[in-house]
Amino acid sequence: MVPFKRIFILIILNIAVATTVILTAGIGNDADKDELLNYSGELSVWQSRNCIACHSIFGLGGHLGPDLTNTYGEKGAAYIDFVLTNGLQNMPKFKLSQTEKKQLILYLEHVNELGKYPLDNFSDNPFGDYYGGQ
Amino acid sequence: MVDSEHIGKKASLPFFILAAAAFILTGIFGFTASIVTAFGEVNHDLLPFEKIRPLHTLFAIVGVLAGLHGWVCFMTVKRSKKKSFSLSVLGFSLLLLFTVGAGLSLFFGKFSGREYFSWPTVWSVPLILSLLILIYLLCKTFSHLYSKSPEGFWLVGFGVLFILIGQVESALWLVSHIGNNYVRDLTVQWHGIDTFFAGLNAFSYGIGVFVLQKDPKPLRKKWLYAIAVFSLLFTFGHHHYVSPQPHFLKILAFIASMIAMFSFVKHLRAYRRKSKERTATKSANEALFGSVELWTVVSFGSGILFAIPQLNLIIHGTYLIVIHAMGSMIGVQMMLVFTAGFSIFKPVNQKSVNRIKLGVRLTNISLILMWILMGITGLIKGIMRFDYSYYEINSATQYSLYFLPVLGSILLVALYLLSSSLIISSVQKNKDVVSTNKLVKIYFNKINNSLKYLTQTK
Repeated sequence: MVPFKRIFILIILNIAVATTVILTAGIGNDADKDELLNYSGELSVWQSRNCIACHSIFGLGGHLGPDLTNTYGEKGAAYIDFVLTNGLQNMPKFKLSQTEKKQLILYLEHVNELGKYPLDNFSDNPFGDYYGGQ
Repeated sequence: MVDSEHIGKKASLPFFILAAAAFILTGIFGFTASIVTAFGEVNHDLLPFEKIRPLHTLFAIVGVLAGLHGWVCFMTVKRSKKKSFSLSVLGFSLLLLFTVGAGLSLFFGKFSGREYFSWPTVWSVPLILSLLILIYLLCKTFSHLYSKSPEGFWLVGFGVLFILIGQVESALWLVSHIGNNYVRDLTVQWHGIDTFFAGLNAFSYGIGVFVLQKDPKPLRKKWLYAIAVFSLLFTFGHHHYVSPQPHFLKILAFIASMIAMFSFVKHLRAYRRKSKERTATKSANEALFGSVELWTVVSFGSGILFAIPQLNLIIHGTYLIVIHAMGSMIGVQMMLVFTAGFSIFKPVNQKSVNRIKLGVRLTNISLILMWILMGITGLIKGIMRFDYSYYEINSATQYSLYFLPVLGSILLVALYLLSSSLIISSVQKNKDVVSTNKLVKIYFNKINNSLKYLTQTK
């Protein structure tokens, strides 16, 4: 049963790759659990408000708004708080509590520490510079 | 004795109606999204973009999955006994439950916040259960499918398993070891997304092989199988070269993407050979499959190009990725669902065939124009962002996006033509003989006779 054998080999290898990914990705990047979740332990604000529909991180996500990977580093917490409170251009005012805003800012602060996107020059390493981990 | 093909059609009918309806909704939400993209100030409280985008994605996925389910149910139920029919009903109920549950959740603002699978993860449970039923039905009919086409069976077989694995993997963020680590979550998430859509591609294409091949397609040679396996296993890293995922995954992704060139060249040669053989007068299914082959070449070729790291630096995070992934890839899968549907529920008359061909033509036109529009906009953004801010880039590209709703409306009309043709073909009983006009006359006469009888009786 050649097709069954081929399918079986592919599935086993796929699961092995997925396991390798889980074991090797993100070593040294663990964030404090409370920082990424609401203080009540619920779904993070980033996810519950589906921010990824309009915004991206590391270029992954929506294109309606700007990429937010390094917004914390470039603009600061006060700017993010202002935009969340008052909206900006096509971004509406979201009725977020102080806790939710703080949690989002912490989330973006954490993301900012993970790497740089977009890169500054065409001649930069297209794989980013993460050889030694963060 | 009941015709087994009739029972097969009965089993697959609700799936194809769901698929057709889902594609129309995909078009509607896509068109709405294009208006918000072009004229941002239109974004209002009832249906903001963070709801429109996931609804658009949800119905595209539902449409493709429903169509694939429908074809498998047709092939299984027409050859097997009552149990398969009951299972197909159960499978449909689960898929419908997923669609309604996920759709309502998104409409009322309940999200998981995940890319492409933005519905609350609990709604993936009925989806996964329906996939398990699909796998069981496939196993029941495997010997028949294998004898028809070994290569088609391999594609469909691993395709459905990849879809299942991808869905399960996409829920792993709920495990705190994964979900609490951004980089681990990102890498696992994109492995899951890649697996899911690779499965959807393979399954769809496998069905295309069954529907349109004249002779059984043998299994591919071992070296082509090895290339396919290597590509399927390792290309996932090319979706985010620049993120902090493990470096060795990026290198493997680059190598796997470039090795896929061998498969692409083979595919391109086959496409050029078939283009020369193609005749002017073609059936609806040939028109659809011709479009499938064109956009498969575009999607495959652009995927390899975009996987070159220096090029990826420019195009990543731009509309070029959107048109590559959504336009070409989902467009191909959608066409294959229609191909499968029309192979079971033949178009009722020549008028219907012409409607389908017009739908295909409009789809091709809108996709070509979208490629040009989003390609230029994407390239401008990709090059400008080294030196300019988001708002400066937006000012430069905003006017070009005004054309997006125009192209979206053409695609919506195309989807309406194809979906309505499929619904009409599937619900009409006597497809070979009765035209729509004749049906109307028959019903009118029946009503007339009934009224005459009633007046005479009085």
